[in-house]
Amino acid sequence: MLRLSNLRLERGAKPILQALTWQVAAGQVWGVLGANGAGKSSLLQALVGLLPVAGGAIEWLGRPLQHWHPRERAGRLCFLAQDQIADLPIRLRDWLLLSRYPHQGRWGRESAADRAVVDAVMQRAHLSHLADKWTSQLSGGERQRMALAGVLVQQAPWMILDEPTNHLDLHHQMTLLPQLIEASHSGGGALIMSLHDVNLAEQFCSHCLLLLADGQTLAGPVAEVLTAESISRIYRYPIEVITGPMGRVFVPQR
Amino acid sequence: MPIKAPVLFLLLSLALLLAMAWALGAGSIALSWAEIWQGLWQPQSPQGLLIWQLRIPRLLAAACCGGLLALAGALMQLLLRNPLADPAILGVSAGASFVALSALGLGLGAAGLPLYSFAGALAAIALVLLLADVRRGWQAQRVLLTGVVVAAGFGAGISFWLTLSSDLRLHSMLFWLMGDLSDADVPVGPAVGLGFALLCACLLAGACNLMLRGELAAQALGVPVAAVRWWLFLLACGCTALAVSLGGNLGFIGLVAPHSLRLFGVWDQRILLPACCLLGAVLLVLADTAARLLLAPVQIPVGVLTAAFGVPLLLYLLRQQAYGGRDA
Repeated sequence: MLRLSNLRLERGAKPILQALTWQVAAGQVWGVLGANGAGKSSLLQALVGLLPVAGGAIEWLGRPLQHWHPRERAGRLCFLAQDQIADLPIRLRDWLLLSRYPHQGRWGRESAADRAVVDAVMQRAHLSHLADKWTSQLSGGERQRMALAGVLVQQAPWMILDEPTNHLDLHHQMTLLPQLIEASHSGGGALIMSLHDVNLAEQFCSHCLLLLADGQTLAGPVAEVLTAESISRIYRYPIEVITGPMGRVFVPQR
Repeated sequence: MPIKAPVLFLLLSLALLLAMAWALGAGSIALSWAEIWQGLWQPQSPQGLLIWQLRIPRLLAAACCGGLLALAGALMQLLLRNPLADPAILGVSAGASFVALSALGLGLGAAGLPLYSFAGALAAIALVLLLADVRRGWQAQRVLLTGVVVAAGFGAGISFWLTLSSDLRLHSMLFWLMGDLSDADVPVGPAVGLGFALLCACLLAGACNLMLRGELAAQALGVPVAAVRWWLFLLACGCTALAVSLGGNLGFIGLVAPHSLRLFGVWDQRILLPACCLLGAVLLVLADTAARLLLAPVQIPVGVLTAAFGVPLLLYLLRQQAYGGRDA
């Protein structure tokens, strides 16, 4: 269980979130929706302890988040940042191997088991043929697949993902998201991801947290929270809901 | 195919031994292997005096200085996440040069030069930290740009001393600026510093690997990024300060050594950091010996030679795939 009580966030002197009280239980899949600059990334970074909070508290698995040892935390809670790039040369396979760090001892070296995990994940994420490429040679979509594969390699069931579908083509959106959700479920964790595509949230999420333009928030099960009215309010653009045989579809008006 | 770590260390150690043997034998008085061997065991013989009084101190200074520069370069590149970062980039060498030249210009004598330049390097580090306002939070971009600006400021000060100085002093100033090991003593202090820095770097190396993925990702994976960053900064600047106090303003070793290893597929900092120390030592011993020989009896500053092989090598590196170039 991840509990936020009266969380206040600031970036520089600019307030981002006023008083967010929010609970995420194991097994849930949360989508975080908001306009550009609404504070999605800041909130997600705070959930992993990467951004100091200006007020309120975050409690995870019965302990205040800041009381966790960083490495112990990283063994069970992973974070996907936007645009992870390596500026110095490293090959894809080695880049992925770095995700095993939380599971190695202080002076640990990567074991054969660590390498086996990397190989298995590369297979599932269709990256095996790129294993020996330099990361600088990869396309934007390939890089994002590598980053998502890093999440799977880390094997931490609590997942905080900042725009996991960035740069991904349709095929990989539809195949990788279920893999991540399945990995989180089978490990007994929960998944929280920021998304720009309302329809992906409708398809894959059980719950949604909406960051509205005026600093207010709206949280709850997808069926209740995602409405034409709430989505129009987020993006300040009229949205229509069409209900078809596959479920609801959100379409911007023209 | 990446090279295996034990093979790499064996090759580099062998290269260092050979380079040192060459440096002992070659010079205005060439010594054969037998004469070197004799001289080593009979310090009072003519060869012994030559070896123990002149060549060994200079050789050790070159090895130590090369190791320090290579390590400083590798650490700077990690710290600033910039492949073009070198030991001089944060203005540390420029600060050291300015103070050293001021001492020469004021006629304080060359004996205290290592001390002055070390003090200058420390002052430059403090200045960069102060001006980059790191208390409000570390931003690699801001630190980098502040360093570049501080270096430019010291550069103006250096030009000022050069224009004011008499011909006699100008010569020693220019040698110092280009990097020179001809007056080097047995580098006890710098060697201890290098040992300490290398030990710390090896302890940090596991965490440094994660820094390759960016500070946010490293932190998310459980690395205490703030602490690692301070250690990287202090070690990189400390190594630069010691190297500058030994050999003046030597360029390119800090770029060439780590990047050559990366080109051979060495990405793991646990191997790269110690290996680039060895490679830096090999390169500078070779360059310094060549500098003694090329125009003998005239000695050219070794910095001219490191630039001469550093420039083409770096240009070649930039064309490689690993750095975004198209060549295989």
